[in-house]
Amino acid sequence: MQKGPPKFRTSLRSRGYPCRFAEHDSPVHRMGAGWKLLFGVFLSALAAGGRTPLMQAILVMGTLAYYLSARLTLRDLWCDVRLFAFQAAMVIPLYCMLDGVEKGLWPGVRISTQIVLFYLPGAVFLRTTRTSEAMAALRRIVPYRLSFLVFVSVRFVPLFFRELEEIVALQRLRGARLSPREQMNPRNWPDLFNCVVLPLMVRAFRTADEVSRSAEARAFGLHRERTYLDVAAMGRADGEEAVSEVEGRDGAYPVKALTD
Amino acid sequence: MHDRVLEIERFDFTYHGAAAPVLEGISCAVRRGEFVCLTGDSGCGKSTLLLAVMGLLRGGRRQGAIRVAPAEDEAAPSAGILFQVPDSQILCSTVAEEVAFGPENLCVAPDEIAIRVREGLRAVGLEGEEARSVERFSAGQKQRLALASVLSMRPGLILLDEPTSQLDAAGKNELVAIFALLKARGHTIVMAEHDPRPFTALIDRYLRLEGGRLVRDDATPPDQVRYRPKAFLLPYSATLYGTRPVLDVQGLDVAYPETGRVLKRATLRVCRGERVHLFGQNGAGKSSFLRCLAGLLPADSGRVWVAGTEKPGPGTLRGRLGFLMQNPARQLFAETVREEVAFSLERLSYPAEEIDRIVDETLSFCGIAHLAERAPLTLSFGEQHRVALATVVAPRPVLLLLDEPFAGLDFPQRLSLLAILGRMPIRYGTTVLIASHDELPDRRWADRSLHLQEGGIAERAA
Amino acid sequence: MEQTERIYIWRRFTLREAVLLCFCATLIVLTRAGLRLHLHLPGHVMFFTMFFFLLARGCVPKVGAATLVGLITSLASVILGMGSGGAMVLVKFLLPALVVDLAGLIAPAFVTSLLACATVGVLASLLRAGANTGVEWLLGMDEEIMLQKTVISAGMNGLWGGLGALAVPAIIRRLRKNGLIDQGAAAT
Repeated sequence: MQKGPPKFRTSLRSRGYPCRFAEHDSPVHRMGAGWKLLFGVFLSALAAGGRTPLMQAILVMGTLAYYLSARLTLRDLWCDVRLFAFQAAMVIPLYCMLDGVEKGLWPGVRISTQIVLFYLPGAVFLRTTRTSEAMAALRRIVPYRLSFLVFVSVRFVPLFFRELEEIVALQRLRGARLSPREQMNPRNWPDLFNCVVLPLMVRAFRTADEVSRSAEARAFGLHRERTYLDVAAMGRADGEEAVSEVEGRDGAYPVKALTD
Repeated sequence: MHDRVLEIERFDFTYHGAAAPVLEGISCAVRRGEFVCLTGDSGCGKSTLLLAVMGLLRGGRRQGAIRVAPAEDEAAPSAGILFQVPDSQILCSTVAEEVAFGPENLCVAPDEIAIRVREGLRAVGLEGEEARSVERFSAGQKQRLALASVLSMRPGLILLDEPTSQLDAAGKNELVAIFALLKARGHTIVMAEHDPRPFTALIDRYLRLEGGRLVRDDATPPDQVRYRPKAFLLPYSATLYGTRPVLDVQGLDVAYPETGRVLKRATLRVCRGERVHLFGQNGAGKSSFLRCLAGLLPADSGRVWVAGTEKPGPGTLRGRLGFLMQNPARQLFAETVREEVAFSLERLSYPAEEIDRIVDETLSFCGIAHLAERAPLTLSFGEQHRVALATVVAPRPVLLLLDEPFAGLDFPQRLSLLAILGRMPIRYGTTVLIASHDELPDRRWADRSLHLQEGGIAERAA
Repeated sequence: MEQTERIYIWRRFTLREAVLLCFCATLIVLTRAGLRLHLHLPGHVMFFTMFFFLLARGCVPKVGAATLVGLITSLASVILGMGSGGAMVLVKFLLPALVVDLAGLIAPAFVTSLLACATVGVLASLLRAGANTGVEWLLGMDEEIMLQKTVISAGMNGLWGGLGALAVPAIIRRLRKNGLIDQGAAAT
């Protein structure tokens, strides 16, 4: 049972995982989710055009301005781009080996920067869009039968996370080899699948029965369309507190791996 | 206007692949405004009948007829149902969304939905909680929320399937009060419940099912089963094991960021061979306490000594501590019951011939020797419960912890479980500690009865 | 009289089946988050992704099952802030899912075969690695460099995906033995 924020490994890595929601206000936070997504796709598409130093410099400045206008820090930036930094550490030497340092350095740097520029607007979207806002946007563009499934998938993440924790604890008490150290040995992987994944799937079957009955009992899917509650009529913005349960109090998603 | 809201005529139902029908020849009627209780032991068909009334049965073969009168509101469903487990019937993230879910599906106008949400929440005492996340709710609050989501659809008939089975006494009382209000307002209610005692004042009529058949239909409450296993009459004896402790907890503190301190300098010493009952309401900290003992949850401060180990960690008490958590069937995975029970012994490196002998003996002890070659997940809930118990009993642990072991079991099953647990100190030298929010079916079982309240543990009067 | 369930989505899945598939997506999201915090090995997310795609196909043996899981997983990942690639996350999950469904179309009972599962697991993972390559090609990366990168990335993805797929037949067998899925149900 988790008692505090999850502990992350500290090495070259900053704390936290990339693109987690940043709980503060900014002009980008206030933009609609749909507009952010569109703008992000537009910026990502422009990344393909950054083939000259001047063009690339303009794109880098523009994307950075977008990133920083969301009041995200350089630390957040490192967290979001570090994977691509490691990739660049592979790509640039490859270019240099192929064409020599003089000819290979610029293309290597260019392509590595383009990759970052392609993915960074997506990171801004994820860092500035609450789960509830993303859900509301999804509801507008996806048929309700599909959006319901996505929402149920998200809604039951905490339940299955608790189940996972409990099952792992139970089975370790019975002697299953499930600690991270024991799982480094592939011989113990059958324990992971038999003792954890299988009971989780059994739970998934049972819960699917119950959830589908609960939905059908309340006429879900009876009509082609459905109406929606006017959230504003209920007063306080919908989902403000609910978001913190899924995203965590500090915006971190409250997951914990199979660990002590 | 129909006087009879529900009519069932010679109704049979057989599940797909089953040899015998689960419901046979059921005929009954429910009048407007009545509160009717469907009662009977586990497996008698109560839930199946409610699902049949709702039209939610899948597959299988049915005969006969079920007629439900339409609701006063044409667009409203004839019936609504509250299920047993709140967690999997709540589908939305916030309270308002959940209560609005039904009316949204019925294409009710948005401003009307808002009105119904408020009405539904007011009816169950959750007014003002519209924006709250459902994750924060207690089991009782979740069940009330689920009821509000049914009421918001304004069904003509309300069905309740074991609505209080997961709740402690406080949660049960809250729901009873709400049902009383609903009845006073003229709602027609049919409730399936194996222990209808808390609702006696509300119930107009009892329909008793046995083996899928309706055996009684009258206003007389059913008799409580009485069974007194002799093992309970043997009290704890210091001459058996002396006063050696098997558990010693001093000044245990546990706090969570979201809920604050749940255990405050909790102290407990249990001697070998004792049978202990730890009673406490939901949220009192029972599960946290047991998890600290098992080494699954590190305490903030205090001393924990269990079965010869100071400050146990996960995996350090294998073979010496058994832990049966709520819904124990979730740990089952093997292809046969025998394999399931043998798993722990194999991991403790018992010799093969020894494993066979111990497994056979354990299955007999738990009364499930006849299930040895069956697939565990094909068994009934009660049978799966026994299998899970056998898996933790097989290694003959020094200390056996049980967290809410009675959840989902009917009264005879609870007594039967107590009988098995009562024999464990004599048979295997196992100390047994049960934590539950319900009183024991037979209070004589416990050598010591404790109360966990406000973070501390105190002895209860006999 | 037999009771039949109503078809709910895509003219093939009942609500119960669809919800089961959405829980497969939930488990992919969970395991993905868990692994990401502690293992930083390239391609490792394919281990459980392929496992649950194939398991979903085994539990709901209808064409489109894996695709539905992939679609829900990608949308849920975006909502939960777990995809760094924005819209690319859709492609990254849908491509391998489509491979699984295509395999199901060709050989409906393939999930019971160790070799077939491993093959599909590897192929689907390779295709996923190809998604990134597509982006790099669009951005104008040198082909030789792109190929070398792809080989490494695809190799890791394929390895993890293949390993994850190996566990599926045994789990399917146990689920059938325990009566949770029909014995050799008529797959479509």
